Amino acid sequence: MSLESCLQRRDIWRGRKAAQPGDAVATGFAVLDRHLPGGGWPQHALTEILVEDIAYSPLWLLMPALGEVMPSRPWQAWIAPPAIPYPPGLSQNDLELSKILLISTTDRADILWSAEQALRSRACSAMLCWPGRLHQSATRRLQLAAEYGGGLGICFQDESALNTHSMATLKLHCRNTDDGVRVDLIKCRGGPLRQNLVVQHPSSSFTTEFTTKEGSG
Amino acid sequence: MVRAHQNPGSCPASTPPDRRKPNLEKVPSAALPDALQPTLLDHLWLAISFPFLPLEALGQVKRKQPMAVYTQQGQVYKVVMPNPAATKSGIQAGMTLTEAQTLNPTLHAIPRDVSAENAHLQHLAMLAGDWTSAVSIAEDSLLLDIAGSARLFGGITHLLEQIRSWTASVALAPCISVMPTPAGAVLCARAGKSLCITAKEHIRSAIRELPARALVTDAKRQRSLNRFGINTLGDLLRLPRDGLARRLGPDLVQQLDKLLGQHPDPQTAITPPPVFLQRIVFDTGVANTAQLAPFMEALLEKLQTHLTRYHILAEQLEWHLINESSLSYRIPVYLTQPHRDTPRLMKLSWLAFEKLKTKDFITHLVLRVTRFAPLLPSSRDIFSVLPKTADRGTSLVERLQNRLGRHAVQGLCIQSDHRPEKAWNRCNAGDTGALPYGAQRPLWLLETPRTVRVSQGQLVLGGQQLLLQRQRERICSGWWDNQPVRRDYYHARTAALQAWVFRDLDSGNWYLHGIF
Repeated sequence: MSLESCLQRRDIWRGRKAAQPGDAVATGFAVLDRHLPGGGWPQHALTEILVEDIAYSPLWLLMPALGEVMPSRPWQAWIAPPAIPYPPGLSQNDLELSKILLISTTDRADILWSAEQALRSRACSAMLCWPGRLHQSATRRLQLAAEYGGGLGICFQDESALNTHSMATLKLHCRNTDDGVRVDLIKCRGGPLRQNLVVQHPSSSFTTEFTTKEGSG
Repeated sequence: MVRAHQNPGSCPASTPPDRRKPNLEKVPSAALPDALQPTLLDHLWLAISFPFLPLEALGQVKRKQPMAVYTQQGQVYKVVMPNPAATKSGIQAGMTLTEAQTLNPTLHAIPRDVSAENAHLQHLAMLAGDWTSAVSIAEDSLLLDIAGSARLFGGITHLLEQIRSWTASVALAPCISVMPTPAGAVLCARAGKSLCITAKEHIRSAIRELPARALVTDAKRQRSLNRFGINTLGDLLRLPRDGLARRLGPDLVQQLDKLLGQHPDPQTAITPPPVFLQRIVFDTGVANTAQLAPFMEALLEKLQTHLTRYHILAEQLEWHLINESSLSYRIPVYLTQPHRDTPRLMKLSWLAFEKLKTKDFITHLVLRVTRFAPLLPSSRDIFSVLPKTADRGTSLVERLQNRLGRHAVQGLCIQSDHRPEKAWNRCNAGDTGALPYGAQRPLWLLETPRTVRVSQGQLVLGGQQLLLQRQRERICSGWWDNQPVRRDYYHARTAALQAWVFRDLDSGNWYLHGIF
């Protein structure tokens, strides 16, 4: 086995700087880009995002990256989202709606199967899924599928998954703050586990609040 | 004398004398059309007439009791077709029903069913597809272009024998006639004249003895012909064309030209709907669906042959499994892109089968395909890599749809409506809708807006205070379809999220509708 072929392998960690180009896609948020290995969301990998309330998953965190990877492949799969991914909003965030596959199913086995198919197919630039609780073997399957297919694999889970074992490349915990989220890295292959990365919601910068008088009416 | 003068090119060998059932085997083979040059045979028409079609269509041919099919003409009922038993008691077509019933009081009269006749003829036309692909229906006869198939069946003589034995099995006293022109073939078959003529120059002599009324059907012209003293087609052909056109109309001259092959007479062949239906019956029953795989493959291979034959692609497959208690399962297999690739169809079918759980023994496996797409000729660009990835995309959608069902895998699109809940829709994967417009919209929309509590002049959502931002968007729309909205939308935030809330202007209540 030559050195070159070793360097080609994705499962050999070579330190932060040596990551291959195309291994990560910039998140669009400077703090995250700085602290995530490879400088962004890992491609060819599964990322687990744990949130306080699954119904309010912070999609905005992914928008720049989803928009960036979208042109590369025919589809982007959204599997069992907790609410309606609202097309006008997605479109305003530069997502191409005709590339989105919305997969609605409540059966957990079907969700995992579709997620694996989507990741493995090499036809999806990204796969977002809301699988409920993920078993360790499921994270392994999805991680392997992502490594094979090369897309962006994202699973949203709630905080009950904080202490479970996971085979995902990246696992992070988002806590809501009043103008964005505070991100803790729980598992991060190839980088230190940073805590309290504050990411601002893009629309929070121009806010001036007021309490409405109409509120009483 | 007239005839001798008229007949320079008659072909006695190929025009047997007026026997109802000529025996072609007795004709010297050298004179048979096989000896003709292939260039002459670009079209050769075989017409089959079914004199008892009205009876056959009603399935009443074999009855021994006297019967007649009648139809209403104005105020009277007229006999269209008596059966042989009725004919014996003197009943003829064209009699009124009353007359016929006077002749034989036991006559069983049935009304004519033209649609059944058409359906029966269609059915016969399908069967006739065994001999040639160009089968057309000429009113009450079938017309087969056998020029292309004569050789395949070992010459016209053999082909005729086979067709004769087939028609004898499906119809009563059919008449078969072969002619180089479609009109000629139909005319002879209808007149009950069984001929086999392959050269155009022999047509004239073959048809000259037929009564002129076989060609001229309307009563007024028949009367005129009677007045001219013209009884046979031979007499008619002898008349000068211009005079004939002036006296009886130019279309009659054209009809004669078509008869003799001097005027083109294109026929439209019937193309049968390429429905594919094949079944496998298991004598002992199959308990395990996994054991079905080889049989499915066999059926799919048959399907592929079928698709190749018709130059089409399958768009949707349907498997039917019938179990012992004759319950049937229908398993549709959806294809995003029509194709006819057996291994791929097998994979997709198998995915659809995986969901099926049955404990019963399966006795029938049926594959039915009714939706097809034409095969478009395509050329491949040797440098192009794109089609491969596109193909990968559709196969993913196919796989997902086959396991989860069609409705579960969809695309998203924008609709032009101001009401936020109607400004989007699900659509077929890959379809595009309207373009986005106007003000900023959230990324999540709640299917049903969530109520926001008001306490002490503050909006409270999930225990957290909701702060509104200054911009307000008023949406008043939808009066036309009885789902009107009158709302003021605000961007708002709690300690946890950026929200899109609205106040219903009618009720004054606050709701959470979306999350940014």
